[in-house]
Amino acid sequence: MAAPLLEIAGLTKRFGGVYANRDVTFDVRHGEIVGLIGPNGAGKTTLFNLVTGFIRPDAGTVRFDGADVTGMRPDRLCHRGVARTFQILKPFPRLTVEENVMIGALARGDAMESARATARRALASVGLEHKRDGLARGLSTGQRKRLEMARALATGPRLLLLDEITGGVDQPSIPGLIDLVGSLRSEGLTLLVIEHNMRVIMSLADRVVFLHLGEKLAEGAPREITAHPEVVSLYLGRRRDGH
Amino acid sequence: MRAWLAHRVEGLPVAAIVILVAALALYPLAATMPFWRHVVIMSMLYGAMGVAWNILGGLAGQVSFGHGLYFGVGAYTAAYCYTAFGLSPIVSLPMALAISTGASVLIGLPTFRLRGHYFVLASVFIMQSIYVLVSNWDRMGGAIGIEYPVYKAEGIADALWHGQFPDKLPYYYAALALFLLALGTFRAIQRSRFGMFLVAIREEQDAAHSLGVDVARYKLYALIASAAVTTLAGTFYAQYVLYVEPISTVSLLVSLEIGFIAILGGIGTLWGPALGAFVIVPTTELLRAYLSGRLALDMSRLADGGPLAWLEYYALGGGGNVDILVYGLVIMLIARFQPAGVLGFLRRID
Amino acid sequence: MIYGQVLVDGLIVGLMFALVAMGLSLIYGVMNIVNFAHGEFMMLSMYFCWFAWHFAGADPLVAMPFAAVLLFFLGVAVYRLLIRHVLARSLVAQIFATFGLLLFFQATAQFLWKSDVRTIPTSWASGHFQIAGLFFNGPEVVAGVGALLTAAALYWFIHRTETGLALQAVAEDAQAARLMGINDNRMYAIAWGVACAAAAIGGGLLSTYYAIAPLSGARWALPAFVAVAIGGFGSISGAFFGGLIIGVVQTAGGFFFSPNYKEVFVFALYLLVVFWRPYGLLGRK
Repeated sequence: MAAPLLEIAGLTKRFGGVYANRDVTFDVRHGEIVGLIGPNGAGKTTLFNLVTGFIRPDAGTVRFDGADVTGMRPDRLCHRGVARTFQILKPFPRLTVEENVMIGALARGDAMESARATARRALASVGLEHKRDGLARGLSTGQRKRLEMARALATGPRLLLLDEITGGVDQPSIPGLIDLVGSLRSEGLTLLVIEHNMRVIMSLADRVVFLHLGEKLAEGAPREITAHPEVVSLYLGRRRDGH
Repeated sequence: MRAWLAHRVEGLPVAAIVILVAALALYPLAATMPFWRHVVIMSMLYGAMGVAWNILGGLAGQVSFGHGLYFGVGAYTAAYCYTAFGLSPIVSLPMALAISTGASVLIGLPTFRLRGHYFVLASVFIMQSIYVLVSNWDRMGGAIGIEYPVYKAEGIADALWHGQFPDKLPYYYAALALFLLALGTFRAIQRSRFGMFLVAIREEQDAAHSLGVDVARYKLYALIASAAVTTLAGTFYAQYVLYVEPISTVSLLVSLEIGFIAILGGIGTLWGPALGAFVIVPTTELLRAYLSGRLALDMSRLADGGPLAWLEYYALGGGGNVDILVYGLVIMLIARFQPAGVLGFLRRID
Repeated sequence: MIYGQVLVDGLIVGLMFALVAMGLSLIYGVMNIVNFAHGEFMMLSMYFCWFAWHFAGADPLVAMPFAAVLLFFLGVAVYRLLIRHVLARSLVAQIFATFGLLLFFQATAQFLWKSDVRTIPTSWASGHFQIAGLFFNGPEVVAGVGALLTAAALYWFIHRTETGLALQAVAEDAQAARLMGINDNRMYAIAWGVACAAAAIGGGLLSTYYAIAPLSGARWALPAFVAVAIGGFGSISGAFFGGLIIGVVQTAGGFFFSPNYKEVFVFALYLLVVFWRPYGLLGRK
């Protein structure tokens, strides 16, 4: 069997005296969708930032496609095939939707016209082509999520990290987003996704990693995770009460 | 042909651009008085610097108050090489550009890691430190600066070699060339991949970084380009006024004025800084000329001891720095009412 | 002994920096605005004291409280007329707003009162004395002690009074504070008023011995930004200790190397701090 696409081993990050991530280890294999869940403050976004090079780990390694990429800069990682979206959406507000998506293709080395073609394909695949000439700041939250995905796709990634697919999105848009992520996988992408909506996780993920206070408490198939006593008591139980 | 003339470059039809450039080129025929030529020369000089600042401040969103440094590099290199070694500005200019690029790398590499206020303050402190260092650098004339010896050129070739001309006309066309070069550089960058990256960095640095844009590298390129044009302006300035001193080159005040030109006209736009320069420079030059005339009158009356002389004296003061006063006032009004600058104001009327 | 003298001199100067820096940090902490014009408020107070002395023979220490009250209202006015309208704007607009204010005040002073240096030769604080082999200049000591007392009052105001606590709440989270019924707009105005009044006290104390000129304030405010950075942007007590540090660094740099370059040492310290400890030497995060 081939080596996993992403191997995270012993990843640790402290802010002040507090562990944001502590000795986190798991793999993401080719063609998989792995869900990352956990309560607020569990260290999910920090883990994304560590994997994508925005912050350096205090200990541990990240390997991508067999090579050690620990602490590598975000732009270099992107060129290797790692793309991400942000939980707090970061469109380029005063660029058009199309220009937003072109940036990733241009950074890959494309010329203007081929970047435009790539951008249009990416926008079509997320269903935003009708908005392409408008400014990004005119988009709704759901549209911005799609824009971020299109932007990431235009970099030609092999691994896509999605920070909250459905957070802040209105209910009717959710099935469309689920379909979109599913179709990305069928095109050969590997995905690591942070998601609070368990319905989304259950329908998409092959495996689920549960983080709590920066540590990995459980890992397994979605059904195993939802039956895991600690996950239920720390996360699912409370969520059912709260929501 | 007609379609081409109607084509718009950032909202301005090509026909209008042709007319404006022609008007600038023909202006000295109409304006024969040195003062009126001087006003437009200074407008084009500051316009060029505002446009250059806009590459870094407007496109890349890195607000620097240190551009006086690059202006000073151009001015001091020319003045020092000429007065110390008799070197023509034609020879010293490549040296100045090399120094400017070196300084850009040295300063840009560490400071571009800083964001927001931290970056702005770093540029302020570096500028202020350079000012103190140059003011105490005896070889560069300290706080007094360097004055060119008067040189009477014999023939055009000699004048070109010395970079000194007896009347303002050659300076005028050199300034026009500089101004157009700055605009051309800005436009070329704005339309390129490089320009797209800069705007992406300005709009959302982390997103640009995650999409594969080498943020540090492109910020540095933007600084180098911006600094090079500013250095060119510095060399022109030294050869034009034939006197270089710290306060009018490597100072925070000059750095502020440069950035302000861009803000006043419209930050991040092609035409904004050019427009800004042609609004504020003539205004302040005229005001200054008017007030210094008034001051000469009042001083004589003060000597006569007229009854209200002291009042006028205090009310008019030195009459100095009225340009800065206007700068300060206008800058606040722009920040308060129309951060998109005069261009934004015009668009609103439109 | 010489080290002791430099240290003491540095701390006395540092107390003044501390006071200036606390005002800056108050404004930054409450509304994330860097007030580049802070030194100009000091300068205006210095001129106020000079005119009070020149025309009415008033000692600066007497004129100072009046300057503080006047500048409190000037600070509030500046907030209401200018700053309030740029709060929601870009960083560029905010920076140019306060830099514009700086240029405007400086140039107005130059325009009205010219660049001539003025001094107030006779103040109650004049004179020299000597303790345990250390020399002290009367006005500087008075200014240092005055700055310390004002700094203490400022600290008390922010940490012990209801208004001060409301200011802190707004600094922490303006939206939450609004929900608690705190008028954040009013708090911002108060922050400006108080910071400017503190600057006025600083200017008044300085006018007893320091040269009064249009650029006099900037010489104190620029290094004070470094103190704010050392203390961690927005931290009031951090700014105080940052002020003491830069006072000593500037004095030592001026003494052991050259007084011409004393500010350069302080500015270099800023770069050192932001690269090495972006949240300040004393800051947490």
